[in-house]
Amino acid sequence: MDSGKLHAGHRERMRKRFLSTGITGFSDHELLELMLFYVLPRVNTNQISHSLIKHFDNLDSVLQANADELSDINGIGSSAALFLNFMSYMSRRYLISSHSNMHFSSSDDIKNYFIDYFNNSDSELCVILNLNMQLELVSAVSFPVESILSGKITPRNIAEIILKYNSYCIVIGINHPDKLPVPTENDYRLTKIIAEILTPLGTEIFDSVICGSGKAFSMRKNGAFSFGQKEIL
Amino acid sequence: MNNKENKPLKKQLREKFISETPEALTELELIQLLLTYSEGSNFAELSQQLLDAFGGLNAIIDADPDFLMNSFNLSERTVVLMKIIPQLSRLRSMSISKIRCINSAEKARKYFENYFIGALNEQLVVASVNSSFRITDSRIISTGSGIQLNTSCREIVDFALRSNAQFLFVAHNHPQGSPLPSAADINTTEKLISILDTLGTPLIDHIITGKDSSISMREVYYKSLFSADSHGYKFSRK
Repeated sequence: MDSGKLHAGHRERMRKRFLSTGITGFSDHELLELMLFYVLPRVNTNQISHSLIKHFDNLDSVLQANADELSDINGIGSSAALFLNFMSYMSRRYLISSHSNMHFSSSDDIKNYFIDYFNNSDSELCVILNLNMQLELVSAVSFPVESILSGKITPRNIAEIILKYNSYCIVIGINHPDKLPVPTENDYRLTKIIAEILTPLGTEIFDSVICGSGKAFSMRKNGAFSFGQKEIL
Repeated sequence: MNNKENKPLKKQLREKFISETPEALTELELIQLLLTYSEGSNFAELSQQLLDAFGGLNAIIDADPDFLMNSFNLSERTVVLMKIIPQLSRLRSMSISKIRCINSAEKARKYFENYFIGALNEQLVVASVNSSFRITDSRIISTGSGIQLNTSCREIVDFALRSNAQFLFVAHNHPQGSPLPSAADINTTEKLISILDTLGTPLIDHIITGKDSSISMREVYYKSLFSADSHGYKFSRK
C-alpha cells in the first residue's frame, strides 16, 4: 500500500471516531490534526499539529494566533493559516449565540433561549434541547419541521439522538417565522410524535415552546397539554 | 453553475475574510466558505439549501449528522468539519475560566469577572472550593433582573450541604452598573455568613462584578461583616 492510501485510511478512521465519540477521547493535537486534513492533503499532519501545540502551548492559543504567527511553523502556509483563523472565528461566533453551559432555571430562560436562537431565522425549524438532571443544556439538535412531519426523520432517528445524549428530559422549540407564536395543529402533532417516542425511553418533554415574531409561547406554562411528573420550574 | 464560474467565488470569499472584518461576511457567505474546504464545485448551492432549511448558522451546525448526510448529500468530511466548531467553542469557554484556584481576593475577582463575560442579565452564582481553594463545583442559583438574594439563601444552603464543600464563594453581577453593593446585598451577605458558619461551610467572600470592575466584599467589610479568621484567604484591607 502506498503512503497516500495509508493517509486516506487514517483520516477516514479518525473522522468516524470523531463522529461517534465527539471530543471525548480526542487530545488537542488530534483535534488539530483532524482540522489540518482539510487544508493539507497528502502530508503527515500529525507532525505539524505536534509542532503547533508545542510552539503555542495549547490548542486554544493556536486558535488565537494570527496568520503571521502561524506561518512561522514549518508546514503551515498562508492558506492553512487562513483556515485556522476562519475556524477560530466560526467557533467564537457559535459560542456567542449558543449559550453553552446554559442552565435553565425558569421557563423564561427557555423562552429567551429560543427567541435568541430563532432570531432572524425564516425557516420552519424544530430544535430539540437535551437537558441533564441539573437542567443544564447538554446539546441542541435542529431539524426542519417538515422532515419530522413527513417522516423523513423517523421516530427511530429521534430515539437514537435522545439515547446518544442520555437526556434526562428534553425541550422542544418550534419556529414560526413571521407568524404569531400560537400553537398550530402541526405543532401538537410534532410534539405528540416526539412525546410518544420518549415515554418508553424514560425521558420526558419538559416544555414545548412556540416562537414567532420575536415572542415565545410555552405550552407547559399555558397548560396546552398535560405533562408528566417532572415538576421543577 | 460550472467549475469555472465557481473558482472566483471561492477566491472572493477567502479574500473577503482576510481583508474585511469577519463580521462583514453574511451567514450564507460563512457557510459557503466553510463548504469550500470540504465539498466540490456545488458548495454554493448546498450552502443555500442548508440555509433555507435551517435558517441560521448555529442551527445548521447543530443538525443531526446522519440527517445532513442523507437529506442534503453532504459528505462525511463536511459533517465532521461542522461538528468540530462547537468543540472548539467549548475549548474556548473552558480556557476563559482557566483560573481554578481562588486563594486570594484578586484571583476570585478575576475568576468571576471572566465568569460573567457576556452575561446580559443579573446572575447569582455560588462556587464551592476545597481546603486549598480549588474550585470543585459551581452553580447559577438565579438569573434575571433584580435578583432577590434573600430568596436565594435557601438554595445556597442547599448547594452547600450537597456539594460537601469546605468553603463557599458567592458572586453576582450588575451588568450595567457599578459593583457597589446595595443595602440588600450587605444584609443578605451578613445573613449568609452567619448561616454558613453554623453549618461549618464558611462563606469566604462575596464578589460583585460591575460593568468594568469588581469588588470583594471581604476586602471592603472585613471588619464589620466577616469573622477575623480568613482561613488562609489573602486579601488587602481597604
